[in-house]
Amino acid sequence: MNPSGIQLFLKQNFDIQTVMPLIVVAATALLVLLLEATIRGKSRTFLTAVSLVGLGVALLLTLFNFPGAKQSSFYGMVRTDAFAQFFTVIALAAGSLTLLLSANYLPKIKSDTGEFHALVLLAVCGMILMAIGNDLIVLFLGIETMSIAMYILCGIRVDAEKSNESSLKYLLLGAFASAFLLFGIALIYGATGTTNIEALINSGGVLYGISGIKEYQWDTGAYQFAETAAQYFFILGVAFVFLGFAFKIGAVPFHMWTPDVYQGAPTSVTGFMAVGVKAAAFAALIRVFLGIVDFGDLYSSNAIAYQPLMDLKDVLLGVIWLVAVLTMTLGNLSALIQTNLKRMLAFSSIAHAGYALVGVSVALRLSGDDRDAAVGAVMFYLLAYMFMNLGAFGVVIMMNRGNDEGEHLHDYNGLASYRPLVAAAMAVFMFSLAGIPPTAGFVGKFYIFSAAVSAGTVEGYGLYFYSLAIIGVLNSIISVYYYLYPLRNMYFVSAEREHKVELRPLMSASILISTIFVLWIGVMPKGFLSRALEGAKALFFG
Amino acid sequence: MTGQYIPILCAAVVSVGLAAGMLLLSRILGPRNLTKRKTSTYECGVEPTGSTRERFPIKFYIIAMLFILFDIEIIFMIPWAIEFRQLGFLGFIEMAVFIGVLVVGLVYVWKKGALEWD
Repeated sequence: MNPSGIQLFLKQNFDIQTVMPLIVVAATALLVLLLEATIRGKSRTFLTAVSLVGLGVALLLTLFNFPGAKQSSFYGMVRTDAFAQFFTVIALAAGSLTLLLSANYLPKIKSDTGEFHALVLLAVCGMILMAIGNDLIVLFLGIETMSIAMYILCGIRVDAEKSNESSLKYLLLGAFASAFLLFGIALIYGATGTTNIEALINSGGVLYGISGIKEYQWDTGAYQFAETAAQYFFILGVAFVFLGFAFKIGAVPFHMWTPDVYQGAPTSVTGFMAVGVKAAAFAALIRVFLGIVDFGDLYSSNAIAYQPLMDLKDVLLGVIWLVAVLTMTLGNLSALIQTNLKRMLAFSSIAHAGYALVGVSVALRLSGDDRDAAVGAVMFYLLAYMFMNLGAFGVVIMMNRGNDEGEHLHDYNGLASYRPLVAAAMAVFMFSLAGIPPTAGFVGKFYIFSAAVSAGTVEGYGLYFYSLAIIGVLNSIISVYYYLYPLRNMYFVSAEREHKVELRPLMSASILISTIFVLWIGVMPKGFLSRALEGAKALFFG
Repeated sequence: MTGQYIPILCAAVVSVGLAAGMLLLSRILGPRNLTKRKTSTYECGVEPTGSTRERFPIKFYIIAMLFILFDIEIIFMIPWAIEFRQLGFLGFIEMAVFIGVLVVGLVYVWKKGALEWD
């Protein structure tokens, strides 16, 4: 290729515009780091402003200037479709709300450093990469960028033992999960010869590695042997990749790290982890798994030789079904007995990952519009979950009085009598998390469970998905107990003494925004749902 | 298909067998008189003093980490320098961005005092 040819090639394939939000956030992170190092003085509140401006610009770019026509860029590594847009917005919004929540909280825990802001921004970068990544390697890069920032954020309270423990646990277990994920990617590459998700889907599972071997004109026995081996490599790779993602979303049985890490980390980081990391991991999970395990009728002519591949979708569906049920049930049952609100919310976040997994399992079975509806329901749920969960963590932060005081359920006794507005906001979040109308949580759960019911109408899958919907609803009922327990304390128990609850402007703004969105999504879900459906439709290549 | 792999199998068996055999032979045939002097850390060197698990300042780690971080840039710069003409202006800008990010890191490290020994 001559130089001008290369330039033309670059022009066509390096569309900077497609990754503009990412660049803006990364540049802001660098700027914050530079300001932190060069500017004297103690207070770092102005860095919140700088970071928020960066995130705001990126959010505007994502909402109004997202490339629609030309979707694939950087040699197909990045795909900026409506699906990516939806999750980019979630990542940016989660980052912004977290920074708003942290502005007054950081000085209280003596961690008012610029690094905190820079790391949140870098974690957001990772999440955006996971949303737009169209290549297993880019997804891995995103996961690592996000995770490494999160490891440090968990331990940002250098003098608190629990924070250090949280950081170290997350690092060690996260490194294991990353290794599994990378090994899975390597196996998939070995079997197919590509890591590009679009190529994996478009090839319909035709294993490139094998068709390459065919050219050597080997005898038939060898060809069949290699073909079978590649199938198992592919399946093993898919299993490992799923394991990596299951760790990141904290699904049972890979949830062990969640309670300790969530409780030890600074509360705003916990909120960020529970919504941001989960949403990004679900984005990657959906993009990978809904495409590459669906082989359609491709192998029906040679069903015996390709039986493992043909079965893969149903096996995976069953695995996700089981994981979803276990995740919901274990998360809810463990949350029942917690007395620390932060730890309770950690277990609740496990349960919510389970609800979202119900949608993923359903989407694997359905096709066409029904599948889009199921995927849209998961996306919608993650959006709703972001606002309600960050809001709840916001109230926990507001109640915090240094160390972990103010996190116990009895600290909320009689809150409604002296801080009625804070109590009301908490009530909205708790009702939403429990799934009671007219809040976002109710609508989200409604869409997910109705998707499960519609999958139950598929011939031969009735028992499978009806039972899934019933288990999900039963779990929601269990969760009502522990979500309403703090409300009982706030409204029906009188306070022994009034705690000092400061209404700082930025923190209050964050909680107010969350409350507004929880109610808005709950009352008028149509606009949000149609964006989610648009994203789900863009996901499949037709 | 198996025919092609027989040489590899042979090589594997021979190399493993050779190594194992040598170790075994030296174990069987080698004379063993373990005197106190023979088992000391340095048979004909300076007497070791103190524990090997001695503490030393964390500064060494910081310097080592920073060295690796900034050393990695060479891996990216050499291919770029070799293909400089081909990559053209775009390549130049990309490398400038890369170096820019590294410089921000260097400024941060410097200002935070990580490069000072005391």
